[in-house]
Amino acid sequence: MLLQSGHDTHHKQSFFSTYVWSEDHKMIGKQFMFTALLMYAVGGLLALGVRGQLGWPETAGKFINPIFGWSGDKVPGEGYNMLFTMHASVMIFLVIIPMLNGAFANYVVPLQIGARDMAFPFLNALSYWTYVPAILILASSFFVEGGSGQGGWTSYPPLAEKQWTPGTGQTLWLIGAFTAGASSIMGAVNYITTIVKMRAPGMSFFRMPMTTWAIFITAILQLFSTPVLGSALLMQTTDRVFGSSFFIPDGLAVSGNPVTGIAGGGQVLMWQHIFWFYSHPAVYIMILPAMGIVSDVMACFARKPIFGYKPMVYSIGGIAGLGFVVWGHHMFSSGMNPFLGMTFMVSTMFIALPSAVKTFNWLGTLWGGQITFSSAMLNALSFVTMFVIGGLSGIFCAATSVDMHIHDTYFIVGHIHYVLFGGTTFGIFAGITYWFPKMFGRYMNEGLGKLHWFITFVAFNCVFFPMHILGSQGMMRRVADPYNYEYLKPMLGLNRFMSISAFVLGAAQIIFVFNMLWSMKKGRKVESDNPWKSNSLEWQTPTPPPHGNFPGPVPTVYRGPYEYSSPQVAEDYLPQTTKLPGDSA
Amino acid sequence: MSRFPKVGVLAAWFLAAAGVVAQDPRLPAPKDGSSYWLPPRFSEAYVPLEIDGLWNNIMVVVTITSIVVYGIFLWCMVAYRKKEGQKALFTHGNHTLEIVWTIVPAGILVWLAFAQMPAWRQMKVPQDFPTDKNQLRLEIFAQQFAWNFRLPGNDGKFESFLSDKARADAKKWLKENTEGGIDDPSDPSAPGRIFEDAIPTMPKLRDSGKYWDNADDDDILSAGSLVVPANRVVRADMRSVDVIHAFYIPSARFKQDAVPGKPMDIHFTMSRVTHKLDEKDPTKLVALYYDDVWVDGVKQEGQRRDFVLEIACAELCGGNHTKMGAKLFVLSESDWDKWNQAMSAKAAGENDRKNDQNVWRLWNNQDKVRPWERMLPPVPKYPGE
Repeated sequence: MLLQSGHDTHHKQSFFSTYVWSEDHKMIGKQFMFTALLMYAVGGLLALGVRGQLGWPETAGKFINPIFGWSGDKVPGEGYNMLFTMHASVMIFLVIIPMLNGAFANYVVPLQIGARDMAFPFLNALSYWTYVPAILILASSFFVEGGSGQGGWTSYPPLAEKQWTPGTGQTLWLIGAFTAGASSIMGAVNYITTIVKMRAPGMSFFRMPMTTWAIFITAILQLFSTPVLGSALLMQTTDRVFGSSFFIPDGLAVSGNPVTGIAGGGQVLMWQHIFWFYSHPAVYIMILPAMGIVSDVMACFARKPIFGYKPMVYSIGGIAGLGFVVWGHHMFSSGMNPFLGMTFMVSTMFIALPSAVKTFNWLGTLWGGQITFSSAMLNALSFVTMFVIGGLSGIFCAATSVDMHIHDTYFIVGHIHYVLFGGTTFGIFAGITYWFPKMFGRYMNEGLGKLHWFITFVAFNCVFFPMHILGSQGMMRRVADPYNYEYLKPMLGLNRFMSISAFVLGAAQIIFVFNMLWSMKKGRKVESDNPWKSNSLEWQTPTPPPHGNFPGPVPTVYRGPYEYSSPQVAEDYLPQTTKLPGDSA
Repeated sequence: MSRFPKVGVLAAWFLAAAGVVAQDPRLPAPKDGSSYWLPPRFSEAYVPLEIDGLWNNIMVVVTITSIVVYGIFLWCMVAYRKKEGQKALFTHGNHTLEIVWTIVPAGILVWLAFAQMPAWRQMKVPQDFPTDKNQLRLEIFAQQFAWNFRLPGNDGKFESFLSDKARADAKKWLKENTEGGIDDPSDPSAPGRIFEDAIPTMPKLRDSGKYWDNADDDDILSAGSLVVPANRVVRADMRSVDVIHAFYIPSARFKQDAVPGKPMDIHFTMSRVTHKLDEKDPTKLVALYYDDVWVDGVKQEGQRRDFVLEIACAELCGGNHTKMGAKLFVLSESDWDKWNQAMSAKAAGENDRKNDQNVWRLWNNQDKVRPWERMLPPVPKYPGE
C-alpha cells in the first residue's frame, strides 16, 4: 500500500474469510476473474477439439476419443456435437458473461463511482457462489451416461428433448445454464442498485466513466432478459424430467417409431422465440461492457477526451433498447411469419447504426491524440478493428434474403467470433492489463503482453477470417465431417490451415496467463497510485485499494472522467477529484 | 526386340487413355454464374439472382466502409504517435460530424432494408410466390437422417398410400371415437388430406402398418435424390417427422428449416441442366459435367467424377447430421417428362408396398432403404380435438 489507509478499522481476517467467503467486491471480482480464466482454458481446449476434428476428420479421434472415453478412431458425431455445444456454453455462460459482468463489474464499478462496496455484499458473494455450482453441474455432465449436452448451445427442441437426446447430460446442461443465469441476475440487481444509489458526491450519471455506463445498461438487459431464458430452460427441463410437452408437437417419430407417453400439442418455434429473447440481448451483454472498457483504455492511452461522450452513452442505450426487438433475426430460416421476419430485418439493420456511431467516435477519439502503444492499448485497438469486421459482416446476415444463403453456415460462426473473440476477448485482455496494477500493485510485463497480443492478433485472423469464405461457399456449421459432401471436399486444406492457426492461438494464451501469474509476484512495482495518469476515481485511491475503497471520506467529484490534455492544467490529465478554482460538485 | 511389343502396348495404352479423355462427352463443371465468393449458381430465378445482386451491393458498401475506417485508423496510428512534451487535441466532439455519420449510415441501411424486401416476399410469402400454372408439386419428408421425396407421377396427383381397408377402418374409428362436429371423410368438401394425416394418430391403424398400399398409386418415391426439370417452379410441401432439419441447396441459394408440426410451403427453381437421360433406359441418368476428385484435401490429378448438385441439411439434427445429404439432378424439360413417365409407369405397375420400395431401391441404387411405412407424417390438425 502506497498511501497508508486511514480507514483501516476492520479486524484481522482469516485466510478463508479473506480469499474464499469474502464479501469485499474487489476479492469477489478477482475470484470471478481467475475462475473465468480457468474456464477460458477449458472452453479453449474444447474449441481445439472441434478444430482438430475439422482439420483431420480421419485421425483426430485418436487423440480426442481417449480423453472422453469414446470408442473408435473417428470422433463420433454425438461426440463432436458435445464438443461444440460445450465450447459455446462454457465460453458464453462461464467465461465471457462472468468475466465482464462478474469480474470487471465487481472490481471496477464501486471504485469508479466512489462507493465503498456493492449495495448488497452478501448477494454479491452469493452470486459468485452460485456461479461455482453452475460450473460443477455443467462439468459433471461429461461424466454421465450418454455424455453432456449435444443440442448446440441453442439446445433446440425437439432434438434436445429426451426422446431424441436421451441421458442426463442434456438435463444437467439445462440446470447448469439455469444456475449460471441465477448468478447473473444476482449480479445485475447489485450493479443497478449500486450505481443508482451509491455514487460519490458530484458523480452525476453523465460523469460516470464508460465502463460503468456500459455495465449499468448491461445489468438492466440482464435483469429483463435472463428470467425469460430461465423460464425456457425450466420448461425444457420439465419436458425432459416430468414428461410435459411444451415443445413437442403431435405425431412425431423417433427413428421411425411414433413418440408415445406425452400429451403433445407443443410448439417447436416457441422455444426459439423465448430462447432468443434472452440470447440476443445476451450478445450485447457480452459486448457492451467490453466497449466500455475499451473506451476507457483508449481515452487514457490517446490522452484525449472520448469523442462524443453523450452519443456514446446514447448508442449503448440504443443498442440495448433495440437489442430487445431483433431476436427474430436468428430465425429467418425457421419458417416464422415472413412479415415478422421483415420487421426483425428492419430493426436489425437499425441496430447497426449505434454500433457505427460508436466506431466513428472511437476513431474521433484517436484523431489528434498522443497515442502510446502499450499492450493494453494494442488490445483495445484490436477490439475496434476486429469489431468493424464483425459489424460489417453482420449486414450480410441481417439482410434477410442474403441470410437465406449464409444462415447456419460458417459465415455466421465467423461473424460471431469477430464480435465475441475479436471484440470482447481483446477487450478483456485490455481491461486486465489496464487494471492489473490497481489490483496487485505491479505492472504486467509489457514485452510478454505485446508478444501475446501480436500472436493472438495474427492467429485470430488466420482462424476466423477464412470462416467467411467457407460459409459463403456453403459449408454448414455444426457438421462433424463436412467432407461427406463432394462440394466441401476441396475445403479441407483451408480448414487444416485454420486448425493449425487455432493451435497457435491456443498456445499464445499460455503467455497471457503466465504473464499474469508471474507479474503478480515478480512484476515491476507501480511507482504511484495512478500509474497510467488516468482521471477516474479508481486511480485516486491507494494501491491496492483498502477495505472500504477510499481512506477517509469518499472523494468529491468535480468533472467528467475524460479531461485528458485539458488546457486548464499543465499536465495532460485532470482527475475527477481535483478541485480547480470555480469548481463545484 | 522383346521390348518392342511392350513399349508398343504402353504407347497404345497411353494413346487410348488420351483418346478417352479427349472423347469424354462430359464438360468441366461450370464455375460461372457466381458472384465473388459465392458458389456457382445453377438457378436463374428471380430470388437467387436478387440474393447474389444484394450480396454484391453489400460487398461494395462494406468494402468502401472498411477502406474509409481503416484508412482513418491507420492514419491515426502513424500521425498521432506520442511525442514528448506535446498535448493531444482537446475536444469533446463535433455535432455536425456526429449528425453526418449518423445520417449517412442510416440512409444506406434504409436503402438495404428496402432493397431486400421483394426477394424476401417472393421467397416466403405464399401470396407472392411465382404463379406459373406449370409448377411441379413435390413433397419433402425430412427424418433423421434422410431426405425423402415424393413426386406426383404421371397423373400429377399425389395418391393416397392407404389401402381401401385402411380407409374403411379409419372411417369406423372416427365414428366410434369422436362425437359429432367432425367432418365426414366421405364428404367431398371435407379436407381429405387432413383426414389422412390424422390416421397415424389412430392407435390401432398406426400399429398395423398396413395402410401404405394403394392400387392406383403412381407416385415416385425417392430417398436421398431428387430429379427436377429445369426452368420449372418446384413447389414443395415440406415436413419433418422428428427434429428440425434445414433443406439447403447452395447452388440455388435456397434454405428453409423443416419444422416438425409445421408444414412448410416452399418453392425453388433450377435453371442449368446437369444430367440427360440414358439413350437405352429412360430411368437412368447420365452426367453432363465432370468435376475434380479430392481425397484428404488434395486434388487427384487425372481423376474425374460425375458432377452432381447437392442438397444439405443445415440445421443440427443429431449424431449423423453430417451424413444427411441428398443429390439433386436437373433434367431438361423434355427429358424430365420422359423420365417422369417411365418412373411413374414403373411405380404404377408395381402395386404393393414391396414394389414401391423396389422402384425406389432401383432408382437410388442404395442398399439401405428407408421404410416409408414407418414414416409417420406429422399432423397439423387432429380431427375431433
